[in-house]
Amino acid sequence: MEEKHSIEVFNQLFTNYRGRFVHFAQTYVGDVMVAEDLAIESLMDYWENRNQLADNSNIPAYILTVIKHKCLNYLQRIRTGEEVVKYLKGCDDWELDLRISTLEACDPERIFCDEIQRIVEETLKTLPSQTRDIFIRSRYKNQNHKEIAESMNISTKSVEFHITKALKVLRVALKDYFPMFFLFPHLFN
Amino acid sequence: MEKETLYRFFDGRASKEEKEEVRLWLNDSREHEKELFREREFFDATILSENVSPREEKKESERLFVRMALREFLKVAAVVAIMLIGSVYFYQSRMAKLALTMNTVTAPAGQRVNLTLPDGTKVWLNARSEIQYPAVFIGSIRRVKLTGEAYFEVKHDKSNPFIVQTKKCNIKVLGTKFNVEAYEDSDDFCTSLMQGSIDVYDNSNPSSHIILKPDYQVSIVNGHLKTEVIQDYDMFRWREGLICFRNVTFEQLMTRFEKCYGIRVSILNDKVRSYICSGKFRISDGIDNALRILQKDARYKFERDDQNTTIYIK
Repeated sequence: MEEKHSIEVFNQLFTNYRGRFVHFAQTYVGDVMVAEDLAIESLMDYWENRNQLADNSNIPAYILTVIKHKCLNYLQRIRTGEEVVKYLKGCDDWELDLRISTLEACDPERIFCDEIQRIVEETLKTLPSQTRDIFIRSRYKNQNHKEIAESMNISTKSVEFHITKALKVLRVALKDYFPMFFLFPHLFN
Repeated sequence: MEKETLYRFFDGRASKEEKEEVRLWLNDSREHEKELFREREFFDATILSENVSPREEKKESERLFVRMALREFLKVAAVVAIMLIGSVYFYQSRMAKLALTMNTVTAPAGQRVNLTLPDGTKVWLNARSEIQYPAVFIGSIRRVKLTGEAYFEVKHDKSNPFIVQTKKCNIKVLGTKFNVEAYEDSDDFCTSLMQGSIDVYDNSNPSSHIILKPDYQVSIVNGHLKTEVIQDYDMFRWREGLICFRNVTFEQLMTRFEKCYGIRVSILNDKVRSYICSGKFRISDGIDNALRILQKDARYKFERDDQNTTIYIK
């Protein structure tokens, strides 16, 4: 019984987080296939180690930490690789450095802190349906502006407008968590 | 620096120019670097935050699973369908070929043939008659061609009419017993119904047709279809191998012999033409035997010509 319940819970988790974990990994490692492998490996890692975790641990944060380390390993291997490997890199050296440093700075516990999650969810609900729809397609479904514009029969300018609008609203809602934003308002036109 | 550009950059969607723009902006000052890190954190938070409608994702996974299962099922179904269609096609084309293959059965002069058609219909072929029929009856119409004389007992099949094609007329039958006389070398046509019902069409005038009732016969008289009651059932005893006649003129009898034996009988003796005869002859005993017996009463002489194509009654 216990086992069956665990599997169901894991299934839920898998279904719920897989998409965004893959997207997250992809923004760092570049290749979507690699990203999928890493994300799913991390999910399996959690499944194998689930009994070792403390009862009240933040599970998404745990999995994201695993993903973070796997992505870092991958990127660092590329950076220290042979000259020949340079051709396989999807980005320039400076970009690769930047990815590694921003990834190192990434804090899964903060991201999956309940408050932030809840705020984002609530805020998105307050958006008009078209804006929310476009934002979700862009962030969660990984569609680019052209794809969104075509499938919704609007202009790409319109798509950008909606996304900017959603981000503005989110930024206001999250001001307590990302306080620095408001010190430089002129940068956020 | 536009935030949108930064987000595109983080998402791997920035163009070469935009990447260059970010690189230059980044190198501009330390503050820009700090800001980039903050924007990155915000970006990560938004792409990792809870879906507004988590159910949508689950449904999508379920739908995906269903779609994949469906695809596998369709793959199997497609193979099965192809195999079925293939075998049906082969079967049909074989049947179609068989349906086109015509069998011909001929009864020579002075002889008869009995046969059964593919659908179970029984046919008695009289002397000098020929029937053509397909090896297999396909489609809704059972069609046969006849020259000469035949007696049919057609297997009853309401949805598949049986059609006898002769030179002058076509007979449409549903299930029935009837006699058809339509010799190739004669312009006569006559069909007589014993049981059931038949529809007789005049080939030269297809809109003219007659539906016969049992014990009636239809013939072509002066180019038209004419119905009358069957007078003489003896005419049909050829099936038993007999020529039966009652109160017919000698001339009429000779015409029947002609039909049966395929030999011309030329009556040169006028006196004997209208001699009334009644009797029975076994067809297999031959025309000479019949003529010899008749001679005793009708008083004539007969002889064959050199080529054996004509008998002269003198």
